[in-house]
Amino acid sequence: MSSGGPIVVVLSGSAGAANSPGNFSGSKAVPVDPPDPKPAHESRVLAPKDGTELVMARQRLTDWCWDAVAVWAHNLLNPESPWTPDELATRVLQDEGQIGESDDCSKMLNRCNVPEALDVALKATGNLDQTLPGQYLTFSSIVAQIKAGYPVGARIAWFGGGAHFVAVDGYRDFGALGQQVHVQDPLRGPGLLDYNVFVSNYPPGGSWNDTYLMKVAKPAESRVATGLG
Amino acid sequence: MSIIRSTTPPAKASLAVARALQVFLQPDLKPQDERYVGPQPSLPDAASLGLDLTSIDVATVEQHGPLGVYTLHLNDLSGGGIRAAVPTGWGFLVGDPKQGIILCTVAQQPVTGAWRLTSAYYGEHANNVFTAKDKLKSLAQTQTRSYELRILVIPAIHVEAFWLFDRSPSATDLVAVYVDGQRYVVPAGNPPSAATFLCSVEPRLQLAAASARRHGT
Repeated sequence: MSSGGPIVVVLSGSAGAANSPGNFSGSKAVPVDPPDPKPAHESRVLAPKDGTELVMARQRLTDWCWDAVAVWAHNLLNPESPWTPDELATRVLQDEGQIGESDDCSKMLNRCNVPEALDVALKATGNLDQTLPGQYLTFSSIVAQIKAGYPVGARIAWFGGGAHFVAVDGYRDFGALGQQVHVQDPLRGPGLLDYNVFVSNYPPGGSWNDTYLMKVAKPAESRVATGLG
Repeated sequence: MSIIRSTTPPAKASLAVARALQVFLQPDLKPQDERYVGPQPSLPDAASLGLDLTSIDVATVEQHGPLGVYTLHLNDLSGGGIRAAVPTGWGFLVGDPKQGIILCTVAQQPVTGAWRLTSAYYGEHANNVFTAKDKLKSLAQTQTRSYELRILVIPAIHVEAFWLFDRSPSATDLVAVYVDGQRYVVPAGNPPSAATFLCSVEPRLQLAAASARRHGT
């Protein structure tokens, strides 16, 4: 069960303030409807035999947080058709015209080490349900997503420019003592953070700026169907 | 003999860490509701850090030397180089290195001025920071010159480093990186001066500054 990675824990004692964090700008809290019941074809693996499978791997390259988050999410939601970081980066960067159609990131890592968008990567894996630019989720909406079995992607915008992608895959509700979210970070490993701290000053140095809701990729969208497998 | 010095944090900052750990490390603290997409992670307790829950105090949390934490954002770099970094809190390495270390950070709340625990890293990250800090003692530069030890964070390029702050008239700050992007680094050899370090990461800083609105690194 142990992740073996770093755990981040924050206890706040910020009773009743879960939906009104301060100290950041540019984004707003939004509630979203609970996800629809999963279609019959969707196969979910919520608790693999080896829990370490669910720990997000450290990003392979300096600028590949988008790749690490999308690969982790896809392999969690669609374990029958896993992507590797190099394969997904190749696909995304080809589609975005950043490399040639015959280029392969596994053979040209330096050239492929570039920032990208998480929604583009999740669209490539078939796991993007909805992008919410300029918005972060209320704690109750995170609870609904997690209970339905879906992680939530988050873009952390650094206060002075630049950004980093992480995912929320769990929560702890202490009532009046505060609320925590479990965060998978491709640089710092898994961790628990106070919800208010996470949205306003993570890790510290940034705030939750954009949100990416996820879904299980349909067979037609999965990489098996693309012929890349 | 190493002459790296730690500075003394505000007493309330150390107290905030001690009190928060007394609560967090309690084995009986259970949430009302808890759920994960995957299996529940295991969290540290006092015993796993070689601590006695009933005796965690300011001395316990300051045992390994508190570190001032400074953050350097892209928009800080245009004036003053590394010394434009802004103090954002204090870091505390707590625990028995033979058993486990927890790296706590505290920050002062902007409105109330109260010190609050903002994060506590446990596991690989905390242990690597402790190991890297320990290595600083053996560096050649730290044998002959006195430095104040700080943590420098540059979020936009995923760099965390020890900032050896030189208070002498001919000040030459040094930077010993321990997290560089996706890699942990153990300081060795001769850490570069702050100016040399900033030159070495300038291309990455420029790339981060030019990053598109939707992108991330």
